[in-house]
Amino acid sequence: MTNNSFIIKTMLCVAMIVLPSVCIQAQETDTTALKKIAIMEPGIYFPVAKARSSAAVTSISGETLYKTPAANLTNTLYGLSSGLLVQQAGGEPGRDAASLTVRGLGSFNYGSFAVFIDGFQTTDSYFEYLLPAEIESISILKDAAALAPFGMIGANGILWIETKRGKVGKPKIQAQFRTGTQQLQHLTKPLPSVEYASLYNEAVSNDNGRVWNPVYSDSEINAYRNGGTNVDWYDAALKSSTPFTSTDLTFDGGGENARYFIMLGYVNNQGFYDVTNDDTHANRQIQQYNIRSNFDFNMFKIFEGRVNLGGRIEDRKSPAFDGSTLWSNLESYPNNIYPVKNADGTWTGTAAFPYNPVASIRELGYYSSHNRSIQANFSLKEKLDFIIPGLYISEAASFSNWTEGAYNVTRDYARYNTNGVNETTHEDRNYAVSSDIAKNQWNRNQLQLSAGYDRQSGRHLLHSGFDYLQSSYNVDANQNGSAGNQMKYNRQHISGRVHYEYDKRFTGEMSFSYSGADDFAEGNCFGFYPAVSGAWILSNESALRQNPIVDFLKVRASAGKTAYNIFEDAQFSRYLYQQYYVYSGSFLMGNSAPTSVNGIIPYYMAVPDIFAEESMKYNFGIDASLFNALDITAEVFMDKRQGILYEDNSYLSVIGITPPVQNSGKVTTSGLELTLEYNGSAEKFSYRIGGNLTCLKDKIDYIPELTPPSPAAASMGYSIGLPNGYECAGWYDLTDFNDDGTLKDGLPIPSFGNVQPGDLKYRDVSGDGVIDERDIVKIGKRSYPKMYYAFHLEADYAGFDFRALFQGVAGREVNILSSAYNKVHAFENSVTTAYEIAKGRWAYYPEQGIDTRSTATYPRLTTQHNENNYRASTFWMKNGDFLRLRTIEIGYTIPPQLLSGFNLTNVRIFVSGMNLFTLSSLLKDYDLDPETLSGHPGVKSYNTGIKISF
Amino acid sequence: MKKYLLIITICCSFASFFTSCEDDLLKKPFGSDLDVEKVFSSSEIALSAISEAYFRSLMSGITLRGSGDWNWGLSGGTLSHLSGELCNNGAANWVGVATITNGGLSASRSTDDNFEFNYKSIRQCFLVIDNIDKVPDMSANEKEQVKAEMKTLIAYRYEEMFKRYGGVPIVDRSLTLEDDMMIPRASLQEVLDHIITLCDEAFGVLPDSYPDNFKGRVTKGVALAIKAEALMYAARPLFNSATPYMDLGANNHLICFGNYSEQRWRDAAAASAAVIQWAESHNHAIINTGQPLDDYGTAVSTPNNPEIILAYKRTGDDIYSCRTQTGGAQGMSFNLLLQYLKADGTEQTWPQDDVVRAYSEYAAKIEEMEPRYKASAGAAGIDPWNNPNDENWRSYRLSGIPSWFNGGLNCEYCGRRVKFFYHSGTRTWMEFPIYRLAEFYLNIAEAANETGDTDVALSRLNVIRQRAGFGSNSIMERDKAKLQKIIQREWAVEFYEECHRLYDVKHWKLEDIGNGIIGGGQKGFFYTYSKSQPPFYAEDYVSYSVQKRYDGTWAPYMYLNPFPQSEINKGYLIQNPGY
Repeated sequence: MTNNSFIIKTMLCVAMIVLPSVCIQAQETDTTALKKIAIMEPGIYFPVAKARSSAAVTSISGETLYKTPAANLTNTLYGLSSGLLVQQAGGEPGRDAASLTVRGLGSFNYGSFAVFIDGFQTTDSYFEYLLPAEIESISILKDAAALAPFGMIGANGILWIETKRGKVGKPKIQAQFRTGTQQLQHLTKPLPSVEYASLYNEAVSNDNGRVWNPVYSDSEINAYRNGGTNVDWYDAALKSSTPFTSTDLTFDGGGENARYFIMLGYVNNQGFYDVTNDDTHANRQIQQYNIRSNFDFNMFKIFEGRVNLGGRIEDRKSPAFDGSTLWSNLESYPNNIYPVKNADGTWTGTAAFPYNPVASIRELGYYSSHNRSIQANFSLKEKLDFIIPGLYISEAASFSNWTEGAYNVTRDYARYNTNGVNETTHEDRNYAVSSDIAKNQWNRNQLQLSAGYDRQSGRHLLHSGFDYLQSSYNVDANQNGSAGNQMKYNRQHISGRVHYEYDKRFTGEMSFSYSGADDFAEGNCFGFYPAVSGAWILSNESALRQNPIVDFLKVRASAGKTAYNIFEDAQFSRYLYQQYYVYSGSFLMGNSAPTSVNGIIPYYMAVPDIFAEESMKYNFGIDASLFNALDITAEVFMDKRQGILYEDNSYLSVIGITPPVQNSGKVTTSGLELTLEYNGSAEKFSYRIGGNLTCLKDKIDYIPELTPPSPAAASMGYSIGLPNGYECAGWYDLTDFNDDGTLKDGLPIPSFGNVQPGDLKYRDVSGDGVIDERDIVKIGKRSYPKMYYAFHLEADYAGFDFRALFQGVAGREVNILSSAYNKVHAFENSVTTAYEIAKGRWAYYPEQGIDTRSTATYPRLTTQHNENNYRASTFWMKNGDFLRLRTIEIGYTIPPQLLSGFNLTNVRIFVSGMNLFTLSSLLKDYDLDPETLSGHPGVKSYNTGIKISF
Repeated sequence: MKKYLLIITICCSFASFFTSCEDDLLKKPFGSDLDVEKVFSSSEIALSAISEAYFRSLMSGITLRGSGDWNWGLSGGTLSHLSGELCNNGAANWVGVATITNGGLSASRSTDDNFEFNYKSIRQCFLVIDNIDKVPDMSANEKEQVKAEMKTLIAYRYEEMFKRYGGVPIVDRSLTLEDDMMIPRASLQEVLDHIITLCDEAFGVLPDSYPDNFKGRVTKGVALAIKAEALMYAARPLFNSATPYMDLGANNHLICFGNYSEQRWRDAAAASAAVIQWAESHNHAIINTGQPLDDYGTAVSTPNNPEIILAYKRTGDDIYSCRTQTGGAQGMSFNLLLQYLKADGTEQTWPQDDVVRAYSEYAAKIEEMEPRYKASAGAAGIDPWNNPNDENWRSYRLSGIPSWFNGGLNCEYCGRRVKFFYHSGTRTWMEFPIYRLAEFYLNIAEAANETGDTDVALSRLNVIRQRAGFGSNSIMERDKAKLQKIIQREWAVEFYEECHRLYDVKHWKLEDIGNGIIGGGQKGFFYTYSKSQPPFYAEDYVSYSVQKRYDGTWAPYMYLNPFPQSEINKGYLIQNPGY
């Protein structure tokens, strides 16, 4: 580091702090405390009045989150904020996080938002199991004005979480308890044995040159009808419902000089497997113990200190069998393979179907893991009012870490076919205990020095804050998949934000980050990311001040830069600015005692100026309140990404090295958000109707991809991840074939193997007489929706309250062939079963009285791998729109006068339900849940609970 | 003013903290990563770069199993599946060969090599050439020798591209991102000259042999062999012609020499003679002890036997050989079986129809076959000749063990794959013979016949036939056309499964190439069994018949490989005709 840059940085620091204060000094001095403003908008360094903010931020309170009884915090976020898209995944306890994105995909490398808790970054996994009771608010930071100070981690949005703090006053105690029963949202069940066998006969015959060749005789099929083997594996392995309990206790209070907030919480979320919990068995489950202790203190009018400790233990257990494999087996094991147990009491199993699902959860023992995580934040603020009124500096540190240990009790069991023969190598074993396994950890240490200046004088209001931050994230190699150079992530920034309000009519804000990371070459570590924004509160202009319609009206706009350092997500190898060599093949040298010499090759060609992806964001918004009842927020935004990393395939092959990864890709995302809230009341009855809507559009402006054989298979110019495939043109009919089974002249020949009547026909887009890669087109919409919306109804009447939240998506299509593989592929390679959808198959066996040619909705059946039918095409793309009732709740608050004798201040009892109802054409027409198409289904639940405050 | 001094002090401490931390904090942490300085910091690590150059360059045409970026080219199957030596059972997971045998070559699909990988191999050689001088513990002579080795490997890769594509871009250094990479295809003559220049330069520096721990690296003999092979392909009809196989207009020079010259045959013969002369004065020889089964078996199987000039040396079982699970299935095609004679030198009479015949007839006929057949194939139900009394080499193992998962009943066809494992005992790996001395005898025989030197042709041909057990049955044929057929048949038998036939039949432009050799009906024996479960011994087989297994695709554009369409789209290459 040269002296020059030291001087420059020093001057920068001085300028940042002195200039604003000097500017204000010139104004008249009024050092009275800032006025309390009704609603504050949280943000980095300082909150601002929501009414005068120039940024795009939505805040959700912890109370709102509590209304959805879900174990995983991500599952409480559905539909609560415009711009925040929450997509449901599976519902397996302890592995049930929804996927969150803020304002679209942004980049074709995707990339994730960052989570901040009380001003410091932490991991998604720490965030997921926070309890609503410890959360004051979650704010979604969406535009450049809010994100610029985050520099290289800001481009994909920030979840800014503030935990509850003690308030001055008498000690308050609040206890919440809720319990409920959970059910699976939806199970798609395979066909019973009778139908399975009939269709299987057809499939085998189809593979036999369409000569009827049944595997199951009529008498065998009749036997299934009359009590033969027909196991509903879901019924056999699962319970119909399972309990969920959560309870928490909070204490808060204190005086001017010391305040505390303490929370203790416990959640028990049990899984659906039909198995007991004892020394050798365990249901899938998570039990969590949360504790939070936030402490504030003041000393000598100068010091303000904060100590935040948020700790948690997560205990997970599951049967000693991989959960996703179990669900795949449940989906694919036919009903007729064997009974759950043999007549002699032994477990069933065959070479082809070795993992009897019931035995998998009951006979193998259990896995358990014990996770501990803690985030400990300390800060000390010195108010330097004695130097310049309003000036302060602050030092803070955050230590967050996570460790995992495991304890497993496992055994193997012998399994026999129905003739009593063990076709596998599995034998009965005794239980064995292993505990010294799967030790993992991460830790993230952050140090922050900040300074700020707050001032109000007359019509002027100024907030400013600046910080220097260094962050070090250390993770075990097996946590991010690649050992060696991906274990340590360090970054650093100087950031700042200056917020100025004039006369409650104009707001101007400037923020920036000079942000650096260790992934880049020396001298190229830092980027500068500034943003400017402004707001004009029209309703405070004299012309509108007395307007009977408009209570509040603000327009705001922001523009600025942020970035995304993808290397933090381990998507690419790091340090690409240097040329590395890696071990590759090997060659033998020597004759009498040959030795194998490992080979070394150059890795990616180095790119000296490799850097972070850059995002230029623009936002324009209107906030309004009309008629004293209707609140409206409408926003349009654009996010222009450039420098997206991609392997540059435009280099010629003669270069002889894996093409360099360069900052070359470009994507534009744009969208609009609308939030409405109507408050109405009539006497004792009050109600609120509201909703939000997010519409998104994106386009890949540049990607250095290889030119595909078909122009329409390219990515450039299309939305991110738009699916490619073939355009289905119906079925091959009997009349399409010559006598020897070959296709008639003039019909294009598929390059995926021989076809027969009932196979899918594809359009020869290129017109070359062959169906191959040259005929690939875009086959529909992607599963990431174009439109995401939610609406809610709330009402209060005489102590009763009601709330219902619906959430839906539109402009979405799903490739059911790949998303619901086991449920859609019938008999594939004879290792999957068949579902209702297969009954719509094309079939023609007139002697057997089978002719579905005119009604077919599914290609002809086969027991083999079929490259022609089972490939991405328009045929398998189905409308993925849906609308779900996410939450419904009815509560009753006991009138305070009844409580006065019990020292209680508030008692509320409630019943609530989650995910009780879904409207979807996938569900209606294909019996598939629109979001969780395979694996462990999502859950719905019915709950009751009580809240007591002392 | 004091206030401002205090602020400045605070800021200075801020900035100095920032400054002092930055260098350390954002420095790449110490790790085990390798850069070029470390790779060439000692002869030991540099040997790894050299090893990789061998590994990559010599892989051409040899399919390796497993993942990793070297596994480009065929994903499943070998060149012998493409050439019709082996009958493809059509298993869907052998996509590498199935797409080509069933659908032909296409610029949109992978071929039997990977165009890009050729240049990755060449770049690896240049990496060594450019940096070997940095190695401190190596003598100047050793360094020059390593450079000559790398040149030889580069020459080999160009020779491999020469026979596949015709003229290709010549890259003579490590290209950087700043270089102009729009290097067009060089003419056929330029590529040939480049190969010969590289071989000649290397020949002067390369050693005749290595110390025992480095044996297997390229010698003077290898440089001669590469040159001889390149000249052989230059002399054969596909290139050595006034008109190309398909017209490429003004660019015919990329795929054809534009004239026929007998001199090309003479040059080829002379180059092969040089190989033989060098080899036989440096401990190489045709193995002939009068025990043909044993001699041929040893020559093609035993690592480092005197007949081997260069082999692909790897431990592990990742070559797609008959010994590996995924490579084991499938057997010899009927077409190739017809190339073999009986041990007494006469033709075997195999069925010409698809009538089902008794297994006993098959057993008697197959037992009469020549030793080279018995060293190369395992017969259905019969104790394996190449590894007697070893159950692992019995034909039923193809169908009996679930993990040989591409197998199944009737994968024996006209002989289970067993070559390269003669009396191998427990050895699971093989060293694939890249240059075997017998090749150069047949080169001379073929070339001399073309130039009318019939005596030379016959003498060289009969050396190979004598070793094969036909000592009393020397070829006396003096008719050029007939002798040409005999020599071509000798190639098919002697070099079965050795990656020769695919490019031999293309460069010979055989009349029947689309009618049973590569294209057209591909046949194999079909057996019936008296029981449904393996193991199968002779008594379990009931019948055999000749059945068509699949139709191979052939079209004239397949004489040369396509450049990948994605590469053509970059605008610097001219595609071969027909793609």
